[in-house]
Amino acid sequence: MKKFWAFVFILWPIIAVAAGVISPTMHWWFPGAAQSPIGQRIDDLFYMILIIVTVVFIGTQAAMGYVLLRGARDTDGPGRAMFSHGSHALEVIWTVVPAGVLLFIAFYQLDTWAAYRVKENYPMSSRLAPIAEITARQFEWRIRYPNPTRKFEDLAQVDGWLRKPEPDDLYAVNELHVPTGRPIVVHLRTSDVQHAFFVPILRIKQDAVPGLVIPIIFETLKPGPYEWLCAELCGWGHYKMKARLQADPKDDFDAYLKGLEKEQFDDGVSGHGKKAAPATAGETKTEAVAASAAK
Amino acid sequence: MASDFASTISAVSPGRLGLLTSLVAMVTLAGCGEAMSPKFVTSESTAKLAKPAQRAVETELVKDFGEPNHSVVWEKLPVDYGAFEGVVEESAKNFSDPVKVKLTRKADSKIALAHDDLRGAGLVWTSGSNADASAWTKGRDPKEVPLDYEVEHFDPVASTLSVRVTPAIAGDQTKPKEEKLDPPQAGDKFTLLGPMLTQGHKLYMTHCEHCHGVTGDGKGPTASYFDIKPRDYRLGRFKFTSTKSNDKATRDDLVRTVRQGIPGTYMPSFLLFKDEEVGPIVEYIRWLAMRGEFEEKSDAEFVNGQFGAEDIAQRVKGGETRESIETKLAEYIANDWPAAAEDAAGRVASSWVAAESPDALVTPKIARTPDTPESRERGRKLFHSETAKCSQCHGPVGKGDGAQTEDYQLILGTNKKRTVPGLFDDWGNPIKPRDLTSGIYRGGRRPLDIYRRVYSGIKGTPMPPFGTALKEEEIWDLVNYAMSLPYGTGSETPELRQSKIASSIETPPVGGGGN
Repeated sequence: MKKFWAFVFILWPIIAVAAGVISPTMHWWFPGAAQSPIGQRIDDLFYMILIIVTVVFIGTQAAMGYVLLRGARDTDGPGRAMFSHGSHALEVIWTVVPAGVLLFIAFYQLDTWAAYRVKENYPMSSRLAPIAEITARQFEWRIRYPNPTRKFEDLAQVDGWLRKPEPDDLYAVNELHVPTGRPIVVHLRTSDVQHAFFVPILRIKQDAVPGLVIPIIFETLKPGPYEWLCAELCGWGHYKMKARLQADPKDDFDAYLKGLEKEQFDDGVSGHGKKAAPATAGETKTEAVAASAAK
Repeated sequence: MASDFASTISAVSPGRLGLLTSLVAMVTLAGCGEAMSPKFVTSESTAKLAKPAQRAVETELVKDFGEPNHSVVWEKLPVDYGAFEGVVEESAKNFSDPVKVKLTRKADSKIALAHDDLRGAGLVWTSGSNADASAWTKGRDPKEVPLDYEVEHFDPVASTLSVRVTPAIAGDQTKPKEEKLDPPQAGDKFTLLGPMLTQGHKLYMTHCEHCHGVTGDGKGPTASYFDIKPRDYRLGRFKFTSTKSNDKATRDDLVRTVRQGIPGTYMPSFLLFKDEEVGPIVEYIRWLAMRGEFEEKSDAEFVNGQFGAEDIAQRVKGGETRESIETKLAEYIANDWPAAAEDAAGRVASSWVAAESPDALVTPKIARTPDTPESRERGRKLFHSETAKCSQCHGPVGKGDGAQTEDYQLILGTNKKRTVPGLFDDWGNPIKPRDLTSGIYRGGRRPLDIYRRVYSGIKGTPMPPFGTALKEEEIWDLVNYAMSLPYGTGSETPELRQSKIASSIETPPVGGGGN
């Protein structure tokens, strides 16, 4: 009976390790390799921690198995269990070693964290060319792209655009197109409760918080439609917030925006709408209004 | 050893084990109950009829539309039921033998068939070597004589169906004697009716029902939490359409709404649905709308004959005897009602057919006027003018706070005024004129969309159509003005304030001016 329990406890870590080893081939693992550089760095961190944990797990379980079997054998005899009172040196070791490991992880991951979280680290070219503003709401994602002709000269202009929609902005819902192969920034906000922008294959997850406009940076390595979900339980219709992130090569992305513009300014006659050109060109407007005022 | 373990546990705490067992049993049993069978709800107007009239309408509805899980194919209605033609490939010896049927989709139908859709979809034997096979359908609506059938196997790739058919319908007096019939022979033809509705129903119940309700009355369980109510389809009226003011919505309009959602309301976008999913959903919604309209029109027939519960009370007061009224009602139901119901259905059907015709579509003949300050200014003047009167509801600067929103409106179809101020829609819900400065366009933000909103109005709401009152150029000017409002260029720039002062000399000032 003693041996039985010893084996039960030894069997469990063996099953756990075996399951871990076969899981990638059984598709119990990640939903495919990370498709973004930051995602790959996050995966690297994950694997590093996984290695540390695996070594510790196997080590401790092997030690425990040894102790169990030893105990099962030794207590068969007439002897009594020996009681020992602590070991100062041992306690120092098992405190200092894990603390060292944790500190190592804490410092080792700082770069990755900062690359994703600290917006001053984002390339200026990406910050000055926001791809879109995404407004999450119950239960969909509303997307606003700046017109491709719009150029932002400084961050204040980007902020201005985020504060106030422009007449030539382009709108879409539940399908975000982004160009591949370069880091891009989208801005996330919510019009009601908390939501979370989550693209599993890119390992990108960001909460949308009422009252905040939060920039998200990422780069897609390959074109393709990617699953995009809400990862914050946001209400009864949370499950409806399934959307598509469509990563396109640059030309396709430009073509998409052109098509969107054509569709959005459709007047049913021209087939392609006329843009509200005078509305953005300040000088023409002043002249024209002056003319109408004089009339 | 393991059994030792279990017996130890049960010996120590038999009570706890009993509890655990009963919990497991409860969960298991609850999971294996009868499948839900939703029911259509009788409308408020039917409930106001005299009992026999109410029963007549309800019976007619069940006969023509069935129940949610067992929809009836009524070919009078312009619904794509997704019919399939089937040809028997091999003759069967007995009725109990499975028959192999090769299915072909009818050309005008857009449907992808799956095994589950075959249940309850209705199979009709339309031709065959059996001399009297058509006796089941001859002189009768096919919907009344479905075959009882059991799908053995369905191969969606080869589109073949292995099916067991039973010609008898329990309790049907007109059923032919089974011995007179031969089992299906090779070359016999079948029609599979209604898989589109079966599919649509399933998707509708998953994604739409919780707001729009089983009957499409907009009273699903989540609807009560909303201040903007989900559409009640039963009036057959949809707000955001591409058609003229008196026309219904087209299929494309409904598809667009499902795909794009309605910003500013709780209707989310279902963009990721495949065409094979949106098609059946829209078809099912149209069918529900037609059912609701048919019910409403049927009720109207009885109300016209003074057979409302209240009418009868009045007539009794007026000296008629209750018995004579009931006799009259019974006579009406026996003699006139079937024709009246057919007629009502005909009117419903023709209006939905008309919506799909090119004549119903609102398409501007001239292109959008270039969006210049002059055009906007003309639009602004129109906005405040006596012809368009936009500002009366939408407010002096388009904020949706016009004087009418504070006034007491007439109740629809009466001369009585409401006791609550403000605007109401045809469903009786309070409604606000759109705040045009918000930049949210429920029916789409294309200039074409705004044009159509002005041209046809918004159906079921106080927003009237201007298609005849205004010239096309004028509508475009209004569109340009309305679309400029969210950006403040219409009312906020100093230049425009100047121009306003100038124009106010020509027209009397309306409202408080720009802010």
